[in-house]
Amino acid sequence: MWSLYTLIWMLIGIALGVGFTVLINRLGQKGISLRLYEWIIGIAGLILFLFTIQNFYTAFQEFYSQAAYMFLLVTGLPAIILMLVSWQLVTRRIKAQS
Amino acid sequence: MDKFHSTLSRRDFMKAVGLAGAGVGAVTAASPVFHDLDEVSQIGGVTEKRPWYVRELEYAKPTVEIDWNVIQRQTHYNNWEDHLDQAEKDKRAHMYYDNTKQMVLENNPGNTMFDVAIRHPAWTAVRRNMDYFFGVDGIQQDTPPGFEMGFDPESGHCVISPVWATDLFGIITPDNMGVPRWEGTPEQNAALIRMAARWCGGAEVGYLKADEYTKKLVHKTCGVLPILADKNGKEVVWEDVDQPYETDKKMVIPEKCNNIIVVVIREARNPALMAPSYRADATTAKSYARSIAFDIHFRGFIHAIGYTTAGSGWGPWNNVPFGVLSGIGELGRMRGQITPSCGPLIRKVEVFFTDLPLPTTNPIDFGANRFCMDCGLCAKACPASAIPTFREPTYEITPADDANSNPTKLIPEYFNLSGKKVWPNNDFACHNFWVTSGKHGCAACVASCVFSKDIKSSIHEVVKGVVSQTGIFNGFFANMDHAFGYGIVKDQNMWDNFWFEPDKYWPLEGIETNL
Repeated sequence: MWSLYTLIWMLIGIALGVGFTVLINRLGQKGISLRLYEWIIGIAGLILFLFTIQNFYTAFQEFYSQAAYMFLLVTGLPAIILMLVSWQLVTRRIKAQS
Repeated sequence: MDKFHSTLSRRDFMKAVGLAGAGVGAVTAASPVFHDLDEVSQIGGVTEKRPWYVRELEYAKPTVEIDWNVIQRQTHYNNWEDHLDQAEKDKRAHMYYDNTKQMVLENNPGNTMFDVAIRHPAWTAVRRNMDYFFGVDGIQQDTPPGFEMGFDPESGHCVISPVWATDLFGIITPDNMGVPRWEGTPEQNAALIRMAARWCGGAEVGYLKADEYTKKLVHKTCGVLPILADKNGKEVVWEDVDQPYETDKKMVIPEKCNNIIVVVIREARNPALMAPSYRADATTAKSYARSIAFDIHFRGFIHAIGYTTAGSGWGPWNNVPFGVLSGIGELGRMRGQITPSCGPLIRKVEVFFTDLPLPTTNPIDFGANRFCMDCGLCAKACPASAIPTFREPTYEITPADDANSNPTKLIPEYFNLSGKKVWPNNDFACHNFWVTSGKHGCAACVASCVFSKDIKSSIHEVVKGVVSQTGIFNGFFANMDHAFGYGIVKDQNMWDNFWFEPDKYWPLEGIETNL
């Protein structure tokens, strides 16, 4: 069952784990606490982003290149917007507080 | 940093390892150990393992509405010859050969010399063996002597030569092995047969009874196919006999064979998505050829464990409803099965009447039949307009005055079975397109189906999960399928260079490549 595909997702999993650890530590060091809705929007964006990557990659394997690019548009773009919204909500809230 | 530092000492670590080892040992000691094949065969499911979104229904009540009082045995099935006079058959057959030749000369993508060359020999393999569908006598008689180790029945000496040695090759029985026949519970038998079917090249398996429902799906007479000339018009009956047999007038299924084994033969996805073309039909032909090898292997197995079968081959029955009733798939708009695993990429449903005790499996519902109401992509893709585009299924069959594809005299009862609420396909128009276009087999409907997708992209399982729970997104999903460019493959490189990029278009994936 182990394949290059499995390895790639394992590496993505490790990167996410390390990324979250670093993020939480940084936030702790800077004394920033996120609101629940900021977490939800950001994580929703991240999940949608991973969903896009998976479907973009595999649509080519299924020989549907149009579907691959449609995924970038239909799920990839909203994913990035959601993550940007989450980031901007936090930075603007902190800016307003200071 | 303290919180990231391990506080486990070396002593504690070794203690934990010791406990874990003891635990593993205890679990191993308590685990079941198989002493014989009887115990081994208790593993496995009576029914197929299904995704969470597949619901089980009541026996003989699939998602397609059926009025069993109306359903009657068809005389036989025919989708072309019986609807044309000789002059029309001659004319259209010439079109078939002329168009095929022209496409080969033009190197038409999907209809090249290679596509024609790979398709026809598969059918030759089918035709060489397709009439072995009643018992195993025909197989036994036609099996030539081969190289096998056995014993000369006269002298008792070991013989390894191309001669008949003993009965211990070809079709064997417990009697000539000198062992008792297998006796198992219906549930054990179900798991055993599922394994044997997979071994022989089949996919999903279901079980039915030969009862007041399923017997109506068997034709009254054997089909009128030139390739089965010796069986044409023979009556198909049940009798209280030990073995199936055949005379000049009838073909007999033993009454004792009151259980039915249903096995699916799948077809490869990638070529099927390049439709309509010879290439798409070549995967169809390959699956039919494989079904013949499956039949001989599988029936030989059941015979060898001591039981009788009548079926399957080119048996005189409607094979799709057996798959629908036994829970392998749902009936779709294109009147093929739509399965949760591979949609309509099912080439054939093998049907074996047997005396091996078996349980029954029930029809399933994962929203496919309901989805077909709002989808209709197959009907839009059909170059012969053979699939109705209207939303609601109906009890009506194709009208006899349907002029689609200019039949001499259309007899819809030869391809539509009254008594079920479906989208009545015009099978004559379908087959006629294969013939007159030269693009034998077509498969545009299969390639266009939303359920024909590969398993690689996660979106497909998400869609199936939603479709099974509610129908309100069906139209949206059908539109998205079209907008995303799914369906008949548009990748020009795949059409043009298919034959020269085997690693890309037909990769070797493990030992078994049929799943």
